[in-house]
Amino acid sequence: MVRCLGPVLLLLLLLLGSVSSAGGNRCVDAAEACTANALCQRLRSEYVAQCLGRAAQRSCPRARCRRALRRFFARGPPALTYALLFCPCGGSACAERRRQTFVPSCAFSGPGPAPPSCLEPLEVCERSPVCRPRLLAFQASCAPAPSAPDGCLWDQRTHCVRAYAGLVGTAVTPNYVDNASARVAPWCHCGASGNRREDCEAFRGLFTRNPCLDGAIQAFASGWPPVLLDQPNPQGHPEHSLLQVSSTGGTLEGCSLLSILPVLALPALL
Amino acid sequence: MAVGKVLLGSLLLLSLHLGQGWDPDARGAPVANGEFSSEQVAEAGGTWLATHRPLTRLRRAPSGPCQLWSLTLSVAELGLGYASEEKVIFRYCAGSCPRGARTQHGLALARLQGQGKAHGGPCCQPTHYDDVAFLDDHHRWQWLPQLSAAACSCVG
Repeated sequence: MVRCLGPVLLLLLLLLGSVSSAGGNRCVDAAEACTANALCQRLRSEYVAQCLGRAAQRSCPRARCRRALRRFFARGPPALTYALLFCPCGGSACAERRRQTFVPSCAFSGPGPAPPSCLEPLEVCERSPVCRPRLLAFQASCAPAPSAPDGCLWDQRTHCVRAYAGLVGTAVTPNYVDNASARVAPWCHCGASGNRREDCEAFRGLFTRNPCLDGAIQAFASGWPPVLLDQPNPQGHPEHSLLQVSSTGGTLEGCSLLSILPVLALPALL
Repeated sequence: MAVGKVLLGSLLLLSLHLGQGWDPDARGAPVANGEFSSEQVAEAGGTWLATHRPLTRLRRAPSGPCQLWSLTLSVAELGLGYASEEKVIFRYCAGSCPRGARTQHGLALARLQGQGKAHGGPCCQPTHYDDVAFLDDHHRWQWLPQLSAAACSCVG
C-alpha cells in the first residue's frame, strides 16, 4: 500500500492541477507525467531525436521517425502514451501542443508541400505488412454502431482508442487538423480521385465522419486522468499493464486497483 | 566559569541539532531522489510534489557516497536559453569518493594524497548521460542530447 503512494499522489496532483487552475494545460501535465516515468521519457526522447533528424539533411528521416513512434506507443506505458495523444484541451495553446505531440512535420505531413489523394496512402497501407493489420483493427474497433446512442458500443471505446493510436507511425498516420477542435484526419484529400471518389470519401470518413471515434476520444478525455488501468496490455508486458508513474521508475506490482479507484472517482465528485 | 562552560556546551548542542535538521538525508536508494530543501525531504513520493517552490540554496557539501541525484526543474531553470511550460528531470552526480580507487593510478595517487604530496582527489562524475526533449513555448520541439546524468562513478 505504501508503494502506491507515489503514483496515487501523482494522479491526485494531475487531478488537482486540472481542477484548480482553469488555465491548466492538460497536455503539459501529460508531458510531465511521461517525463516522470523512465521508460516513457526514454522512448519520447528517442522519437523526437529520430524525427528531428540531422540538421544537414533537407528532409526528415520519415521511415525512422515513424518506426520510433510505433515503438513509443507499443512499448510505452499505455496510460501515459495515450494521455499525450488524447489530452483534453480548452484553449488553442493546449490544442496546438496536442497537435505537435508526435512531431507531425516529419511523421504526418510530406513528402511534398501538398497532401496527396487519400487513395495513395491507402494503397501503400494495404500493401504494408505493418500498416494493413492496424488499419483493419481500426476499421473493426471504431466501426460506428448505429443502434447505440453514442455511436459506439460501450466496451468498444478503449479498443477504438488503442486502434487509433496504432495508426500513428504508419502510412495513414492521422492527426488533429487544427488547434481549435478535436477533429482528426490523415494527411490527404479526396479532390482528385476520379471515379474512385466514393472509396476515397469512405476512407477519409473513417476519421472525419465517425461518431464512434469521436465518442471514444471524448470518453477518454472526460475520464481524465486516463482510465486504462484495467485493460490488458496487448504486448503482454506485465510492467506495462498498470499506470507506471513513480519518481523511482518502479512499477505498481504491489499496488491493488482498489487503492486507485477512490482517486479516479474524484472527477465525478468534484 | 562553570556557567560559561554550560552555556558553551548548550550552544554546541543547539548548533549540532540545527545542523542535523538541515542535512539532506540520502535515502539509501541507488538513485537518491532527495530534494535539498528540508520541507521537500519530508514529503513522500519524491520529485513531483514540491516543484512549485524554488529550491533553496545548498549550504554544505552533500554527505554520503558518490551517487546520482535528481532534480525536477522548469526548462528556464536550466539556464540554457530555452522557454517551455514543461518540467524536466535533471540528474547529476555528487558525493564523496573514498581514497582507494580501482586503478593503479588511483591507488598510487591516493597514497600520495594521503601523504600530502599530491593535490586533489577522485571526483564523483557521470559515466553515462540521458537525452532530454521538450516542446518549447513556440510549439517547436527541442532535443538536448546528453543533458542529464544516468550513472555515476568515482573517477581519478
